[in-house]
Amino acid sequence: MISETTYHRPDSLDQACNLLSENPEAVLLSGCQSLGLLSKEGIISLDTVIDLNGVPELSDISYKNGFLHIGALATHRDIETSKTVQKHLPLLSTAATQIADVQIRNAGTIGGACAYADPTADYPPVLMATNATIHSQSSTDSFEYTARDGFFIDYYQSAIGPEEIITSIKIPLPENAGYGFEKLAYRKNDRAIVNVAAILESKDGVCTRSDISVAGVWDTPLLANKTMEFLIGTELTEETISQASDMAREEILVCEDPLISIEYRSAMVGALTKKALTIAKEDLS
Amino acid sequence: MILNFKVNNTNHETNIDPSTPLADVLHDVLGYKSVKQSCSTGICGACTIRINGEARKSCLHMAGQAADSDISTVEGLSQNGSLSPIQEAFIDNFSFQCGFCTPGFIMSTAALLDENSSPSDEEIRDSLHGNICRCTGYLAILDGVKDAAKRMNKGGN
Repeated sequence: MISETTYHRPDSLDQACNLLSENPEAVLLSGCQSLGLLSKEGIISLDTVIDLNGVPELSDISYKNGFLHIGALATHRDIETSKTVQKHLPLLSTAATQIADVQIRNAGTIGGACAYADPTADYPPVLMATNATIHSQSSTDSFEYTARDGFFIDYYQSAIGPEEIITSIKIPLPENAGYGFEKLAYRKNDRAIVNVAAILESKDGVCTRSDISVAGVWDTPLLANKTMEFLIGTELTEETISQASDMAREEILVCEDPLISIEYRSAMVGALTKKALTIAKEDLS
Repeated sequence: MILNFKVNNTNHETNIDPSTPLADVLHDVLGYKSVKQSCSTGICGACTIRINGEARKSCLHMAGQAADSDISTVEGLSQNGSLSPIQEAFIDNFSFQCGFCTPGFIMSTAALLDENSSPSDEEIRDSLHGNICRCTGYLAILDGVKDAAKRMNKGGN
């Protein structure tokens, strides 16, 4: 170690934003589960750290006027076990249960996961499918990003600027939706090879809303736009779901990977989409 | 930076770089030798401790992050020279061989049983998913956890 880390532990959001504005190179610390790895690998240096864990207002989870608000410091375990999330958006609590293990879920936060923008993570497809917004603050401004439109900009890259701190995630809640979340990984709760979040709404058996997002296969999570459009106005049957899954398999871009062939990954996009849609449809009734 | 660590209800004030991994502080600086590191990347769970009651991987926490929190390690489990019911159950069920992973498994088990006194097999598996043992094949560990739950429900401490 060359020199000791300068470590700040602000006790308010304003103080944290001011510190970050004075030290734009500082590293923000929340759960330290990915950050710890990055620093051990020497990918980032910890000259200055701003530990956000002393900021009290950032871990609330609440439901208000049709929106679920989740503070950036809410841990995966908070989200997994929150009665509010389980009641209003079980899709998100299900995704949280798929993250790593209890110890890591006790520490890792949704704000940290958003900023990290890991393309194989479990929240991104949910945030895309639900059309969530991500909110941040700097010492002078506040910002709002849309998950589906511009938040996930590249491989491990979110739109959050160097002087911004993610404060919350806001998710508009469908009223009577069915949800499906499916994941394929080498081992249970490992990084996703493919994961799919699906939301369906229907009236008299005909699909009135369909949102499908696939992650783990490209640099950013993706929306299955054509498939979503196809399903609207379609009767939700085994056959139409099967057609939709084939469509998703066609339209979702899949990266090359030294260990997994494009063909296999694409096939899994189709298979998991089918499963997620089937579960979402069953969840409707 | 002078930081205070409260481990098993004992306060330790120490001058340390706040970005040092907590596992290093506990094992190397403060002498809590139960806190082992194998992978140091948050996979194996050998370094599992409890922070404010929650099972955490101490290799993936910075010292500064854990300062002033309530930290507990296996060293704090025995009382008046008697092992805790979890430790007794692990011994009686042969829930370890080499023992390297055991403190981590025991701390994960302690966190689980405090939250859920009669966990199902699936809940036990989920709670221990973040701990790896390369000797036992896990079944003896599951037996140990179930036996520990029984002993604690019978009014052990």
